[in-house]
Amino acid sequence: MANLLFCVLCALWYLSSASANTSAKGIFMRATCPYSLTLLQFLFVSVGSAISAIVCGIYKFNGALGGADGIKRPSRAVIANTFVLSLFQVGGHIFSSLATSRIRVATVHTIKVRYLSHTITNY
Amino acid sequence: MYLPLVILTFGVMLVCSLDARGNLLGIIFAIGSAIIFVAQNIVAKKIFIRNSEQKSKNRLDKLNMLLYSSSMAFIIMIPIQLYHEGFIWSVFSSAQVTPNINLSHSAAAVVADHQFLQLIVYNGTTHFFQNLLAFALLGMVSPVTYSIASLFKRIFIIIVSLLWFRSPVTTTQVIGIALTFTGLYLYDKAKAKIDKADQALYFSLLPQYRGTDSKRMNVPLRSFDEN
Repeated sequence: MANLLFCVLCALWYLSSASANTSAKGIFMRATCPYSLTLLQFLFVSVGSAISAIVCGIYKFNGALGGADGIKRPSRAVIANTFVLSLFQVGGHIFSSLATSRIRVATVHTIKVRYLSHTITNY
Repeated sequence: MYLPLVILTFGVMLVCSLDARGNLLGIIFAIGSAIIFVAQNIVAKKIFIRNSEQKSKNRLDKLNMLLYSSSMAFIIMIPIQLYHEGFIWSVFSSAQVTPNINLSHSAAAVVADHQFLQLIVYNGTTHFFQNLLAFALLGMVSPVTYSIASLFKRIFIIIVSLLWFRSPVTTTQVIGIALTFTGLYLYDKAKAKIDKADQALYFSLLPQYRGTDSKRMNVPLRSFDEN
């Protein structure tokens, strides 16, 4: 049944990604606000994962993303580990929104297909 | 190994040729975002490895990592947004908003629209679930399976967006898209073959990994939070 779970999650992933991209384009067709939308996206993701972490912590539930410990205290090591990642997040999502506000979603993703196939596997 | 790349690039160029005429800057931004996400994947892998070697007090699970990276991204983003589009927030005051040339409609008129707010909430929630699901699937399957899955995801997104917005697609672009995905598929297959050989060699040579099962090395290779 792990296969079925994978298929269901995959289908949900596809649908959510398609919805996110088309709604973003819909927003940009009404107002050109890439920076604001990216800001709000980060807000939604942080609030959503904070709620998930708190709920998982209360019920001691270790899902696919773990979380039984709830929200970890922000220590130096924790922040140091994730700060660089957040820089990349900002850059990547900003450029993505800027692109989506100007060209079609299909083109954006065709370009992404071309370049994201270069993910590194050297150790 | 290089033939798939050539097919890929040519395919993408065909697709972009129509859009580039109108908006070259958009194409450049898309390429920029892709490059940044590639760089992120390289760095994220090192961070994940370092993270799994930490004391359990400092070790972050994926949900916490998502939480911290996105909240810090939010904080970093605040000054950037204020600089570029700070005037948008003035809609919440009763002050008159002068239409800015950067906005296609006056901000007040747009934000007052109920549908617009709904769209923003919808975008935020689906974006969050996209991240969550991507992370979950990343941990569930091998990198190769994950990359094939994300390839199909992009096909799905391209088709859905073309149908939804009823965008006119020229034959050139259809050929371009088909070429892109053929090239990518061939590239993935070639890489998987090389990966398998490399991994076998790697495990047999390095003393600290002798006797380690491959599950421990299941470090996410791809697609941290890109949409």
